[in-house]
Amino acid sequence: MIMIIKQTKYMKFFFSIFLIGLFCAKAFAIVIPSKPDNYINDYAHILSSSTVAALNSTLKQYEQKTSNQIVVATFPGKLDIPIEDFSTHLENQWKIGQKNKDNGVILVIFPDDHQLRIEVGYGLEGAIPDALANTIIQQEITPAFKAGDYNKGVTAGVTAIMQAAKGEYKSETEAFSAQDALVIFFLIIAVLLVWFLRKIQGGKFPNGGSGRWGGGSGSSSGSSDSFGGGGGSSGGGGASGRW
Amino acid sequence: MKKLLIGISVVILLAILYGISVYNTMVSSQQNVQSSWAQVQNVYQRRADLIPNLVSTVKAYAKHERTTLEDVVKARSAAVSVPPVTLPQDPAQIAQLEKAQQGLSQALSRLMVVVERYPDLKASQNFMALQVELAGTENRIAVERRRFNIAAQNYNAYILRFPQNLLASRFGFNPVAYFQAEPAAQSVPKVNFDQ
Repeated sequence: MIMIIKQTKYMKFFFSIFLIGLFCAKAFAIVIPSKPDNYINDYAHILSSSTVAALNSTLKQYEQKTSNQIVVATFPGKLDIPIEDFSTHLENQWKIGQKNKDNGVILVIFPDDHQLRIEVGYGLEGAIPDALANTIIQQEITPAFKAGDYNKGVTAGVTAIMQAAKGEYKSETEAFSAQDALVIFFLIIAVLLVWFLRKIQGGKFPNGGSGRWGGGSGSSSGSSDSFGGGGGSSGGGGASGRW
Repeated sequence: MKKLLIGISVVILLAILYGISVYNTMVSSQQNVQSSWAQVQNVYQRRADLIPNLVSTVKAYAKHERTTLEDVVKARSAAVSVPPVTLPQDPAQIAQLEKAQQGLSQALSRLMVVVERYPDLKASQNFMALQVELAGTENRIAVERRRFNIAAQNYNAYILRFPQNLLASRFGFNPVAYFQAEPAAQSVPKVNFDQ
C-alpha cells in the first residue's frame, strides 16, 4: 500500500515535470540553450578561464558531497522580459537539482543589462530564503560587479550560496532509505511465501511462477561523475538585483 | 464454441485493461492538477501571512496612512475568507479567488506608493527584507498559477478527448476551470546571442 502511494507521488511528479518540460520545449526551444554539461556556463564571456575551471571543480566536489547543484549562467544581450520569468523558463528547461529534492540553485547574469538573479529550487527555499538571496546579491556580488570584476563577484556569490545551502541535504550514496528497507522486506516475504507454498504443495510447485514484480522504482540518481542529476524544479524562489 | 468464448473473454479482458489504464491516467492527471492547485493556494496564503508583519512595520513609521493600511487589512481578510476548494471545477470559484486576490494586490500596490514618502521606513532593514519577501511571493504566485494552468489544460484535454470522454464522466472526472493567463506568461523570452 505504501508502495502504491509512493508510486503515484512519483508519477505525479514525473508527470508535472514532463508537462512543464513539454510546454517549455515547444515555446522556448530556440532561445534557451539545452541543458549544459558544466556548472559554469559563461555564454556572455565575462569570466576568465581559470575562474571557470576552478568553480567547475569546486561545484562538482560540492555536489558529490551535498548533492546540491549550483549552476551559473551568463547571457549576452538585452532581456525583454522580466529576469524572473526568464529564470523560471531556464530552470524548467535545465531542471537543476536532484529529482525529488529540488535542491538546485541557478545564478543568472545578464551583464549587458546589469541584471542578475539567484533562482532557488523548492528544496532549498528553507536554506536560502529570498532575503538571504537578496543579501548575497547586494553584499557579495554587485559590489564586485560595479567595480567591473565579474570573476570576483561570481566566485564570492557562489561561495556564499554554497555556504548557505550546506547541510540541507546529504549525498545519498551511503544513506539507507526507507524504500530500500521496504524492498528488502517484500523480498523476504516473497521468499517465505514461495517456501511456504512449496511446502503445502508437497514440492510440486512449478519453477518460474508467472508473477511479475512491479513497483519499486528505486532509481537512485547516482550522479557520480559527470554533471548528472536533473529533474529538480523551482517555484520562483530567490531574489533579483541590478547593478 | 469454445474458441468463440475464449475470443469474447479476451476482448472483454482487453477492454477492462484499457479502462483501468485510462482510469489510472485520469487519476494521476487529476492528482497533478490538485497538487498544483494546492500550490497556488499555498503561495496566496504565503502572501497573506506576510501582510500583518508588513502592516505593523509600516505603521511604526507612517502613522498617518491609516486608510491605506486599513484597506490592506480589509483586502487581506477578504482574500483569506474565500473558502478553499480542493479542485476548482466551477469557473465562478476561480473568479471569486481571483477577485479577492486582485483586491489585495491593488491595496498592496497603493501601500507601496504611499511608502515612497517615508525614507526612514524605506531604509529600515525590516522593511527591506519584507519587500524582498513580498516580491518573491508575487513571483511564486505567477509561477504556480502558470503551472496550475498547464496541469489543468492537460487534464482537461485528456478527459475531453475521444474515447476517454465516454469514460470520464462515468468515472466522475469533470473538467476544471483555469486562470486567465497573464500577458507575461504568453511572451517568449528573447535573448540575443550575437554580441
